[in-house]
Amino acid sequence: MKKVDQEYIQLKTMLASMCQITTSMLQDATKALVTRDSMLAERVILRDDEVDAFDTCIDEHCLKMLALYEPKAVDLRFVVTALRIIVDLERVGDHCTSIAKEVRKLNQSPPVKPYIDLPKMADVAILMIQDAITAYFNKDIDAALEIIRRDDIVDQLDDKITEELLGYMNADLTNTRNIISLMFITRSIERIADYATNIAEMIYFMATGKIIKHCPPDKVIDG
Amino acid sequence: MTEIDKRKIINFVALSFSCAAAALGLFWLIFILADVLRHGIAYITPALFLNEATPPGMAGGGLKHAFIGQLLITFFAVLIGVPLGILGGTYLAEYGRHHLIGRFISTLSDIMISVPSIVIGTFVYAIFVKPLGHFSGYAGSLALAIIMIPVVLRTTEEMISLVPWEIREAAFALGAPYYKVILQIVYRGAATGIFTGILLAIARIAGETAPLLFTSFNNMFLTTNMNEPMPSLTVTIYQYAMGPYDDWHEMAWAASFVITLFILGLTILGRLIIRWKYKN
Amino acid sequence: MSDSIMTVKNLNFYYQGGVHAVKNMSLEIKKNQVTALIGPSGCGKTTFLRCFNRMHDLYPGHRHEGEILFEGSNLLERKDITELRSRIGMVFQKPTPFPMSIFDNISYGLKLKGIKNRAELADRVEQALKQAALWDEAKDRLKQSANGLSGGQQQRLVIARALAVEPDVLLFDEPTSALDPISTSKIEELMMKLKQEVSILIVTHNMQQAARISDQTAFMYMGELIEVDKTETMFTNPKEKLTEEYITGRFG
Repeated sequence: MKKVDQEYIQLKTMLASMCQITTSMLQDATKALVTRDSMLAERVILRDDEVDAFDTCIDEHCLKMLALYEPKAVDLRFVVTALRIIVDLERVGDHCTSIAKEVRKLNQSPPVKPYIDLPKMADVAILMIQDAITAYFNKDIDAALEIIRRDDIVDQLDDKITEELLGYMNADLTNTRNIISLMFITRSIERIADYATNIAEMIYFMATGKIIKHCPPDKVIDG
Repeated sequence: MTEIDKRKIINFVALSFSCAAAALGLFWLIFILADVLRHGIAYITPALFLNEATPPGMAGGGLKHAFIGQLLITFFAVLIGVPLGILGGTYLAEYGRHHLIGRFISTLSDIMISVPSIVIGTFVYAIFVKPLGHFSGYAGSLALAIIMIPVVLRTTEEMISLVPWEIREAAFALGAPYYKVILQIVYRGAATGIFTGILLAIARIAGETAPLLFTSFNNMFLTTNMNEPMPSLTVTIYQYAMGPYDDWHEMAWAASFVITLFILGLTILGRLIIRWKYKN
Repeated sequence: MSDSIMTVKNLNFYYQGGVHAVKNMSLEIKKNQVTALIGPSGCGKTTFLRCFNRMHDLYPGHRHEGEILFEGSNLLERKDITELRSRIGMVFQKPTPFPMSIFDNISYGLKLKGIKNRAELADRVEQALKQAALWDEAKDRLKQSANGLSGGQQQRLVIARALAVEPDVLLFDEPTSALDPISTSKIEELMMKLKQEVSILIVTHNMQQAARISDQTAFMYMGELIEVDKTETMFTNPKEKLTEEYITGRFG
């Protein structure tokens, strides 16, 4: 095998690990919220360092690949996209940390409500991130477009949960602090889904060379 | 008149002149060849090759003695000329390429190639025939060899120089000493070229008359003793053509035909080898 | 980093007429690694490379100072050049097949070493051709002239010829500059594979090639060694300004 092929494999491996860490962070943060497990939330916060380490490592690796192998065409877009994906993944990690911090706060008072839609929304976001990375590895345009569409589900859930939380807030003003925390969490998950959408758009660019970030989604999907 | 028209006219005039010049040259060449062919082919008989000379007027005479003499003289000329030429050329291309003496010898050989052959004939007469006191086949061979050496030498030098220097370096890089590089690599690379050069050199000397007049002289009898005057085809043609008898003239035509064909054949063979080589 | 196979110490080289082509070079050539020499034309990298197998001995008037340590002794002072050159092989810019058959080409160096046994020759020819990834293409035409091979195949033949004598070091002088991109990439792959068995020193004008295949890169300028480092570092973060200017194409 050529040396350059080994480098691509290494890049993919590191990206997959980084993706795995961020998604499991979100999973754990949600679990910590539902099960009121502050220790788990604490561990999520600590794992952000791992994400940062991968971010630096992949950054250097991509620079090295650009310098040593001067990739062209789809290879060039592959490496450049990797550089941009890690920025988003790193932010996903940051959001998970803030969710965990909010969970830590929430756990200090009794639960406001049972969480049903919030974990559902988190699951959708997790799957979007995972699918986005898989689509990146497979240079799969269809999967990417499908992920972009899935963002609507998250947005709907976001609206629904926000409405619900506002209702709780009106019912009992003493809960405001906790409701705001929950709103932050919802907003973070919504942002994470946006990052997944972002990554999907970059994948479309990588596979086709066309930039779709600034077009309305229907137009792209219709072709 | 535009510039382009002017160029076209100049082109046309130049092309016409060169075509005319080529046609003139070709005309005489074809004329000579056709004449030799026409006259010569009629008198080609088995007797020409199988019989020796008979007294004038007597039928059934041949030129066997001249053919054999010619072959012997040429053979010995090649024997002397080719090794000397190849060795000299090798020296010039390999060892002497950076020395002044090498370039001097190289230039000298170029001059030698264009020296009139009769001068070489008289030269050999002066240094070989005169001191020994008699004409001989060896003297003829020597004269032809002297004509041959610069031709073979220059061809060898050029063919060897055509072998890329990198190939020699590659052989050195494997640890080969210089003499092995020359013997095993350079000669192989230049072999066809050198061989062609030798063929063309033989073709050149096979038609020479002047240098033989003063050296091997002539003889009406078959001899294989190189130390005696030797008959040769070219001198015999000269003598027979000058002679008063019709059958001599006929035999001269026939011999001219044979020798022309021989030289033509060698030349064509040489060209074919060159073309074959560059095709591969 | 791994061990050195050769150590250059304060090497100076002067051509006939006193041209100072290599100035006080000191460099470690690592074992089982590819060391690339880059630099602008006329910077002395080829001259430097040719010191390693004493190619300069062919030409009069040159002079050198310093030493190149190889197996504990200064190879510039060795007497047995044939032996040295079979240990340190060289591949040139243009393919240099000898005007003989493929088999004879490969066995040439072996015969020089005095190997005459036909079975052994055949074995080693096969092994060398396999090492140079030419066996499959050449096995049915071993008796045919090497000139019938394509440029890229000829270059691999030359590499096989150098490999047949089992050298420790292979010197490459711009081995792919006369080849098309596909042949080039084959030769590069071959070099990556070969470094398991030999140490490689390559002069190249193609910086990208140095980046792709070498472990260590040395940058030369005007006969001097400006910088030497791991290839990765040289191409992402060189220490010297001159190196940076050269590899970014902002030279002069």
